[in-house]
Amino acid sequence: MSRPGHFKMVLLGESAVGKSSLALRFAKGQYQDHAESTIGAAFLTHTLQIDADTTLKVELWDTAGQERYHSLAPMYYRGAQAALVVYDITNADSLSQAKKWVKELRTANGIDMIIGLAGNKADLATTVNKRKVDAREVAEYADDNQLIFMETSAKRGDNVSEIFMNVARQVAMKQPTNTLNKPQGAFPPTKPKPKGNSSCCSSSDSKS
Amino acid sequence: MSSIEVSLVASNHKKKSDAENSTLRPQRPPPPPPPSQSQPSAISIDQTTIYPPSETSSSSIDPPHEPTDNTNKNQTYLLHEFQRLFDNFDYELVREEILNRQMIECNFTTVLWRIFLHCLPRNSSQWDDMLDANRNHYEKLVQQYKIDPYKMSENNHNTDAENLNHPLSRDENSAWSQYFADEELKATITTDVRRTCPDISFFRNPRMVDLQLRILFTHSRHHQKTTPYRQGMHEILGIVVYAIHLEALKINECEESNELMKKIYDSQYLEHDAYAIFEKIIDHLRQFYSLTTSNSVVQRKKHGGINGAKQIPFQRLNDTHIPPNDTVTRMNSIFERLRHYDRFLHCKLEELNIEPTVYG
Repeated sequence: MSRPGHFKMVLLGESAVGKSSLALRFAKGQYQDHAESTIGAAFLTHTLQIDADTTLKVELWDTAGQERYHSLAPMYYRGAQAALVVYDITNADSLSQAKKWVKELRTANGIDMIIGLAGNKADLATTVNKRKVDAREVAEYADDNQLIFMETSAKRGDNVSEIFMNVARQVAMKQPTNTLNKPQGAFPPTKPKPKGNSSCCSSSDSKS
Repeated sequence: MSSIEVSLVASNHKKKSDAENSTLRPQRPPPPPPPSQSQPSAISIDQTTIYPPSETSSSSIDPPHEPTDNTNKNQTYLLHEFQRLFDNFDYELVREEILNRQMIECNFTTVLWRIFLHCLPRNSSQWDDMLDANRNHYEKLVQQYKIDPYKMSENNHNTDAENLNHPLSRDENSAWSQYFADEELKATITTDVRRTCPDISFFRNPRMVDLQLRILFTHSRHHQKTTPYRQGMHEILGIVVYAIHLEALKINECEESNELMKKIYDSQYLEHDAYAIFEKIIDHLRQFYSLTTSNSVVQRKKHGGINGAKQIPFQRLNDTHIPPNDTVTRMNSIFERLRHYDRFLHCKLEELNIEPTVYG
């Protein structure tokens, strides 16, 4: 019998590295050439089959990357069991920003948080040689900081489900599935029921 | 503030199905709400209701070709509508009409924006001068914030200035350090502007990207202390530019128009006019962009410590500190009011740990 559980995951990284594109590829298998910038944050869910016994619903918070919204990030990563920090392999600055996020997450949520590091836009390294970040160096950094590292391409779909799956597996290993159902931090364990309320809360609507 | 905001909301927000509801609330702060994924472009203009889509080639921003037999009728109608509305502008009446949603079909929405935002006076006989003044003002601002460090070092031949103005200078007053800061700001803005309304080809036009970049950059520099550029502003500006553009297409196509109409919709001043409207809108939204607390009472409380803990009702132990700002404070106070109006919902939200900043 399948035991359902869920966990909260947050996407962080500099503006325009492809956080929303990764989320869209992961949750819907789609890609848009021109993506709008994310204002505030977006919320998506996607259910993963970890093994024959376990399904895990990923509750994904996709945040705005711009530095000026940095101060809002804590309310999205608070209580999250996992994070995917994203940088753009054609932009060295975005890696420094990613490292800052990792540091901040470790300080706030501790070593128990599962953190994935995605070097996105990997397609640009092969089609047009725009690579500015060496994958081996990042792999070393990832090892030192216990991060699940992969280069991804939201455009082609390379490694996208893989990195989410690896993160989810580790979350599942770290906590027995039955505790995953318990409330963790800021996110509700069940869907809030809007019936009977003149609710202005849009978070329940955005669940898919 | 209310009349201006309300009229803006009423005339602009066709995107919201429940417009009445949104007029009752303050305009949404850009950062917190998690937008639903099923609505990919939350701020995109519903083109079809305003106009047939002008999705021609990406480089073309020419007027769409409409059948000619309809246009004649349309044209007289436009001039007539313009004169009826603005020759003797009745502020209260038009305001009432906007609030009653009778102005949705208005062909001069952006002119109404300008009046209600005080970019233009109510008396249209003064518009001519006002337009000139506004446009000149913008022209000057653009020049003022254009830095060419090469020229500056050429002009300054005294040694002090030469020491100051070189690319490696670390002095804050160096023209070069301002230049580099400006370039960084422009890069940030460009990243966002390129991603405005991806589905509308108008925004892919390089000329339009540059135009919006100049407006946002100039605005950010001019209002550096109060409302420097933040992501999200580009979407507000996008709507303004696109709305003026669509109206101008229609007006400039019609043969029967008076001088004032032509002047208002002169496409070479699209940039100037969009700036004027944008500047006023951002001024009204200032508090939503503020990251600090301007409210002196709150600040005193914070430092006084008596009610310090009560100030952020959602803060828990081991919480990562979210700096309080006016928007957060305001949302928290709305949440407190909810307790009286809908106790059940309030309890449920509290029980589930859903904070106002999440659904804001």
